[in-house]
Amino acid sequence: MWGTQTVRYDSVQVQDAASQWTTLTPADFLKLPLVQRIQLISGRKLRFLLAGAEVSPVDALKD
Amino acid sequence: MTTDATYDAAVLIAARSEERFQSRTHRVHAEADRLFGWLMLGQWAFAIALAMVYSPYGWEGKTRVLSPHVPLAVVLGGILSSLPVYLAFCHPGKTLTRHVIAVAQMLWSALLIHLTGGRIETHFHVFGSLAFLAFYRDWRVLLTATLVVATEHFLRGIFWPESIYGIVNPEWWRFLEHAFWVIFCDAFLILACIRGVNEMRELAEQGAHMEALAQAAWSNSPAKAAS
Repeated sequence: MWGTQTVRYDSVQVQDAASQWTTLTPADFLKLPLVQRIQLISGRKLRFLLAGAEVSPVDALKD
Repeated sequence: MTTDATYDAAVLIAARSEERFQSRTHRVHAEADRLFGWLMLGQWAFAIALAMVYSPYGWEGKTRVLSPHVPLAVVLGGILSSLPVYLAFCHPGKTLTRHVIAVAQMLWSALLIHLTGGRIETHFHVFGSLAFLAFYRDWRVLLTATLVVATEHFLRGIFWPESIYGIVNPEWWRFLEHAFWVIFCDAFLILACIRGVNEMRELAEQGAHMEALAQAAWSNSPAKAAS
């Protein structure tokens, strides 16, 4: 609601423990606990997408 | 890196993010405290000047007397400013400091309104003060200030209405009208405070995301493999 980050992606695919990919909206991704987000990022277990095309994590998260 | 090690590293990064958020929040509070410390001193000097200029020496018969507003501004102004100034410069960033400052700032509005004989324009000091208090980005401070100014208006409206409204017999509900505009102002300032805190939180978390990216890059780097 009060988020001010410029979102440079429109969906995030997250890999779970069973190696299944789940698609989240940016808002749902940012609602995940920070520790979980950090684990996903550092473990390279997510893909950022903009209009169906993959965006690099650095570009996706820079704002 | 094992799952446990990944989790531990993530917890450390999250802890650093929280530390950055707390540090930034403390800095915002401490800077606002110091600003109010100087404002308290400035208001004291202004109140004395106001009492001397606006309530000039009077004449009673052939004796020149000092307006009672001058010692009031000196003594009451000093009392109002002393504790907040001490806390602002000796204990900046503490919760108690900003709430004491909020109380004192509203009482300063009350004193200035009294010194100007309940002049309506001086009531604008209340709104300016609320805006300054919003620098803390702590909405609870605004609630403290609002409670003080509403109570003060209510009590003074009953016991000494001329001092606050400039007339002897205002409507009993006049304080409610003033309180309404204060709450109107608060509504926007509280939203701004919440938004400001969220922005600080997002900045801190963005730093954590960047650290996680750096960690991912390091884990897959040739340098890491060689070490």
